[in-house]
Order: sequence, then C-alpha cells, then structure tokens
Amino acid sequence: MAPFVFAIRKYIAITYINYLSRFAYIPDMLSELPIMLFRLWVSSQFYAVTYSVTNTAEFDGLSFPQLMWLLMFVNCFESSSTQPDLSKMIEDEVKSGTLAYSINKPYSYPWFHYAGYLGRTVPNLLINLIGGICLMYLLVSPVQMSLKGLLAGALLMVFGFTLHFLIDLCIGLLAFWIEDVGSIAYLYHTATLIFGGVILPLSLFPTALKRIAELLPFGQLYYSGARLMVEFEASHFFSFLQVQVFWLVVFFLLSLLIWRKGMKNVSISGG
Amino acid sequence: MNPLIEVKNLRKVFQIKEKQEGIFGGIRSLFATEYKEVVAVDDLSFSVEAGDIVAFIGPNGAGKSTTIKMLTGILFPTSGMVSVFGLTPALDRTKLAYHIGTVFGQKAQLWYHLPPIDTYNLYSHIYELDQKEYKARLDFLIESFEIQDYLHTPVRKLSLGQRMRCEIIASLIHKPQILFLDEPTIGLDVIAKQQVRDVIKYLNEEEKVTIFLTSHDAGDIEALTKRAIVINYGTIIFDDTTPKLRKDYITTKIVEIIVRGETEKFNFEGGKILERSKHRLKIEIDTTTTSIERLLNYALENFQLIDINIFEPPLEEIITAIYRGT
Repeated sequence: MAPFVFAIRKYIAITYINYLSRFAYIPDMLSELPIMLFRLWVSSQFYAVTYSVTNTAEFDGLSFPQLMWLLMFVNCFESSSTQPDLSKMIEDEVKSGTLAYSINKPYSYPWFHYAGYLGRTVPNLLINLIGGICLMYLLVSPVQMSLKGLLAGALLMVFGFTLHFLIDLCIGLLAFWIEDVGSIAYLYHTATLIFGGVILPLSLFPTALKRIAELLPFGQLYYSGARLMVEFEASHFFSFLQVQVFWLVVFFLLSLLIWRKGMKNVSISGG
Repeated sequence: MNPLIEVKNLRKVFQIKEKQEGIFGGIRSLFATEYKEVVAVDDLSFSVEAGDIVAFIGPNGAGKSTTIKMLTGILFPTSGMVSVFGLTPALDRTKLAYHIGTVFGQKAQLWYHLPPIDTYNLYSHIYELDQKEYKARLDFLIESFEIQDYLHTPVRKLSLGQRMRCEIIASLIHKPQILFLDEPTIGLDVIAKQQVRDVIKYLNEEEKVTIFLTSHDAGDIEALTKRAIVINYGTIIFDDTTPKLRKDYITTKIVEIIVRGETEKFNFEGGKILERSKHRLKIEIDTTTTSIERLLNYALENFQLIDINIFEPPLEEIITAIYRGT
C-alpha cells in the first residue's frame, strides 16, 4: 500500500477514536448545549428590544431573524470547538508526563492533535446544530439561505475551525516553557467572545471598529463563515478568505516554530 | 557488529525555575527569574548489543527515566552522543518509533473512557500493521497476559494490575525490536509481576527483542536480566553481569513472619531481627551464609505460622554496598 494511504488511515483512526471517546460520556457531551441555548435565548430577548427601540429593520444588512441565525451558527461552532480545550489537553499532557507516550509514536504530533480535534468536534457540532436550529425555529422565523452561501460559509467555517486549532495549539505548546497556560487561553477566549461575534455580532459594531474586528483573527474563526451562511455576498467571501488565509499562514508558521523550539526545551514530569 | 544502543558521554541538564518564598518573593521572581541547573545525567557511556536484556537501575532521581527518554527521542540531550538502531533518537524520533516499544509504568497510554481493544485497534493503524498479522499478534498477547475477560471493559473500570497488563500489551502490538521498560511492574501483585516477567523473557528468548529495563524491584533484575547497569546521581557506578551484582551486592533477603503466638521466644541464629512486634517479625538474612529454608524450618518447628512474606533488599542498600565495595 502507498505510504500516503497508511498516513491517511492512521489519522482517520485517530479521528475515529476521539469521536468514540466523546460519545463515552454522553451527559458530558450534552452539558454545554443548555448553556449555549440559554445564551441564545437571552440574546434573542436583548436584540429583539434593540431592533424594536431603534425602529430599525436591518443592521448592516441583517434583519433580526438573520442576526439570530448568524448568532446561532457562531455559537454552535464556537461551543463545539472548545470542548475540551486543546491548550488545556496539551498542558495536562505536559504536567502529567503522558506527553512521553503521545510524542513517541510514528506520527506528527500536531497532526495527531488536529485529527483528534476533528473527531471531538464533529459530534459536538451535530448536537449543537440540532439544538440551535430547533431553538431558532421556536424563537424567530426561518431565514432564506442560498446554497452558494451555505457552501461558501462552510468552507470558511472549516478554515475558521483550523485557525482556532492553530491558535489553541500555539497556546498549548507554550506549556513546554510556562507552568500554566490557562491565563493565556482565558485571554484568547475572552477576545473571541468580544471580537469574534459570539456575544455581540460584529454587524452591530461601529463601522470603524467593525472593520478592525474583521481584520483580526477572532472575527475570522466563526463569524465570517456564519455571516456568509445567512447572507452571501461575493465581495465579503473574498475579503474574509484573504484575511483568513493570512492568519492561517501566520499561526501555522508560529505553531511550527513553537513546536520545534519546544521539543528542545521539553522536560517531562515524573519518573 | 555495531551495538544496537550506543551512548557516549551523554549529559542532560535541566534548568529549574527557582521561586522565592512569600508574596514579595513571587513578585521579585517575575522580574528577576533565577534558574537552578540540575544535572540529571552526567557523562554516561555504555552500549547494548542486539538480543541483550539489560537492567538499568538506581534510586529515585538517579537519571534512569531521563536516560530512557533520551534513548527514545523524547528528550534532547544537552551534550553527548546517542545512537539507537543507527538513528539519532531526538532527530529521528518518528522513524525510530516503528522499531521500539516503551512502557512507562507510571503513565497511561490507553484511552481512559474506552476499552483497551479500541486503543489496540488505533495502534494497529498508527504502526501501519497488516491487519491479519495484527489480529494474530493481539491474540497471542491477550492469551499471554490473560486479559480476555476485560478486553472490552472501559479502562477506567480496571484495577491497577489489569490496567498495567493492558498498557504493556499496547507497547508490544507492533513487534518492537527494542523494548524500553521504565518500572513495568510498579504496583503489581505477585502473580501479575510474574506474568509480566514471563512475557518479557519470552520476547527476549523467542523473538530476540532487546530489553532495556529500569526497575526498583531487585526481583525483576534477578529474574530477567543478564547484565546490570547501576547509576546514581546520573553516573554509572556498576556495569557488569547480574550474577556478579547478585553475588557481590544482593546478598540479603528480608523475611516477614506473622505467627499466632508471641514472638518473644523467637531466637534464630543466622538472621538479624529488624522489627519485632507481638505477632510479627522482620528478619534480614544473609543468603550467602543462611538459607531461607533454614529460617522457615525453624519458624515452622517452633511457631504456628499465619503468614510469610519475602522481600528483596531496597536498591538504596545495594547502592550503598556498591559504594562500600569500590
């Protein structure tokens, strides 16, 4: 068999075992869903009032139902990709010393985590989307979405997921030098909540701030993909794609650098 | 023929961050971090031939695990040369991984919420095994370690002994040519220890696997290895045959006897009583002059025995004896 077939098979096997492991504790997997749904319900109350008191039909070209569907997509994807946090997993590997096992297998350690990340994310995402879509049908009317928009949005979501992985990988790999990466991970998650459109959609930002936020990596994680899903615009697609690819390249190179330097610095705890 | 493992002047120094006590000390450390250098391994040189079974022993903090981690490519050496299978482990870690197996007795590689079989199936793909060969290998290992009954039980529900056996199997699935075992019998009961030793012996004798073993248990070393390397404070203090180590330095056994009557009248010549309580005695005997059999015969003739345990001398004692002898 060709070497690349073996390589693909091994990473699929890693994805699969992570997928299985996620299903081992179904209550754990479902635990984030009510929180996310509650957050969406609160947002719907808040933004209903915002649209009503300002007497505005659209903000940045988005109606209230469109805004809520956008928020739903952002929250579903954000919540799926952070259960559990990769940076926390790497930190635990370093602290417990199980890194000794995870880095001495015949695979690339970053790819091992990427394959695992996909395996954990897919079941989370399916459950979140089912819950989120049901809630949107109950709270607001359905919105029209084009196939083009859904496909373009899905592509940007895949890039966004990968961007989140790379940023979280960089933070996790810092555990090779520092004792606790939790505070850096917290800063990143807070920035994502604010500038990533998880709580406050970027469409509601003042124009200048919105432009800046769209250039930052946080807005390119989930917001850009969700925005295209609810309302496709070719110009948006290409500008988002450019910014996303830029940040993907930056964090890919950064993670490579940290990984290579970190491997020389690693000291594994315990006997 | 070139040795399978070759180590020359190997050294590993860790930089450990020092923290001052108290709040102000902590704040001061933020601005002027002080590091302490800890030499874990110092100028280590040795080689291991293919098919050898070598014990690498020493007390806690001696540098055993650090050496194994450098041999397997997990840690970069500070200086010196390491060659395993003709490869430089730190640079060729992925290539080397196909040929070696590692067991770290104090760490887990099995997926905690899943049954061991899922991890084995995963490793069959990671090591790119032919599925037919993998099934045959797995059957052999399952039978050897007697894990049929809990192959499909989630790891979190296994006892320590059961889990350790499953952990070792995970390291043997790809038929490694060198097996690095770091405390493989830690925490195991007598039967489980014996099973592990039997399989290690089989792998070495039948499959010609080279074994590099660290252990705190002098019993592992006596039962398994032909050669022993003893290190302390990162340097080699003994490198010779295990029979020589046994003959010269492992000359004592500790026997614990629990009797129904009182131990006051216990008066055995040829042994040193280390501990005595109402019904329990701990006696150290020098096996070069007194046999365990003689002690047990004395105990059987004079007391009603409830329990007997035989222990190896602690490694620290063996190391003290080596220092005394050099």
